[in-house]
Amino acid sequence: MTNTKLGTLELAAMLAVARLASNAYGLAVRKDLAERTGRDLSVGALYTTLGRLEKKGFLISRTSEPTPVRGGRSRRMYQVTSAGAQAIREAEQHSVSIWAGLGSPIIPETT
Amino acid sequence: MIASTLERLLSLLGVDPEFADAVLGDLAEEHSSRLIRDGSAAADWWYTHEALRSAPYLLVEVVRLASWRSRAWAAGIMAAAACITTVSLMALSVGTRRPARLVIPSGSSEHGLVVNNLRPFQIPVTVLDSAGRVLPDTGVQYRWVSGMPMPVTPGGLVTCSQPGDAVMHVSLGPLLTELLLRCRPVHDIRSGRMINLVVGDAIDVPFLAVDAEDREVTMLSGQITIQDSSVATVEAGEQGRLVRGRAPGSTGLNVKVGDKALFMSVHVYEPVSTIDGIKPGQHVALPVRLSGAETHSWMLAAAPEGYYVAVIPDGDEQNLLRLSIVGARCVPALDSHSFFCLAQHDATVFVYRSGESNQSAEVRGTLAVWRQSRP
Repeated sequence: MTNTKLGTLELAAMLAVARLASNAYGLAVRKDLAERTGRDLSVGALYTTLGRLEKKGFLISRTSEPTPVRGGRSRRMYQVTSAGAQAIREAEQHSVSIWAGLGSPIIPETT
Repeated sequence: MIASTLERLLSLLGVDPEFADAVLGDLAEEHSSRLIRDGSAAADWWYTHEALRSAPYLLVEVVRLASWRSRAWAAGIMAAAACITTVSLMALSVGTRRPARLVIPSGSSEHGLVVNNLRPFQIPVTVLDSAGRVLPDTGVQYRWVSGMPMPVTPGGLVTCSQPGDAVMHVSLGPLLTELLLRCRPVHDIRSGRMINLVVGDAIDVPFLAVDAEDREVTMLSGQITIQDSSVATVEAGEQGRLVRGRAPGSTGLNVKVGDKALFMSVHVYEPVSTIDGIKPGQHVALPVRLSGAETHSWMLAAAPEGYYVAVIPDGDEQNLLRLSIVGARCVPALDSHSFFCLAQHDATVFVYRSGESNQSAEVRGTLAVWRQSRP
């Protein structure tokens, strides 16, 4: 059975791919995540996350034309699938529902 | 070499070639941009660091997805890779210089790094080895710890959108240092006048830095540079920076604070006893002392070149001297104490005291005249 839930890092990666649209490839996603979340993911950590999302059916990928700046290698371009978009929406609704009703600042309990 | 080793390792492990291409391509692309930005040593160091950091994820992923037979094969490769990595790291630690110290410039303040920039600012950290030699700073990590919340990237790019202080942790492996970052964003820098000096005299560099609400910002970090140091020099004063006249002439002074820059012209005058016979290109200064309601006057000889005429107060005193030029066509310069004039016929310069001044006290200052050079 496919796990349709998104972890925090998975959700951040999905949103980065959605934001970057036609320019969503590993390096661009990694930079976007670093700027927005402050997390400096290794290339390996990012690609295992993207691979997991692809396996879940939330992302699809294709390879671009090879470029000289990459030593003649291709970019792996990612795109959010409709299942991925649905998972993002569900994650958002889930987040809204768990935050609902919290209208005032959180005050820590004093001892 | 590390790239080809990594490629061989991925191939041995049976990683999908397209997947390997994506990983190696990303590393190559970022390596090439770092090569331009940081130089080859730093870029190579980053590549090795990143490849070592990535390897465990890639290996675990391969093991997770592979068959039992492939898993055993991969496990063997992992063990071999671990041995190679350990040996390589040992060789690196012996053969290369190791970071020993992180150095943060103190900026203009003894207590922290002052940032006046509005645009994202790179925290300047230098990595030194135990012998004090500078090493590539690749891998230095930055983290906000306390104080005013401010965004900082792991690479040390900080954005100061409002005034406040924050504490950051700067780390590289086991090295850790604390940094007090003092955000004082400067929205504008202003100066209302040209700088006129008699040879040997010095004044505070006259400029004002303001924030978004037009309030003065006093905690500043920046650069003040003089274009021609034979005419004037910049030196440290009690409050800030002083500009001192060295020899008669004109030059420029650049002030840079945060993202803002300002240019001021500096004119240095030689003391003389009369302005008669002033030559083209000459800068002269005549002491002026006025008692009571006295007015002094001098002749300004007709000339095809223009004149710049100014009155300079003594020291930091308020300028109580006033100028009037009769017989020449003049336009005010940047303030009420100086004029650009064209004297087609002989003209007269009058210096008198301001009506606001105490008439019983003597007023001292200097009449400065610069006859411009022939075109």
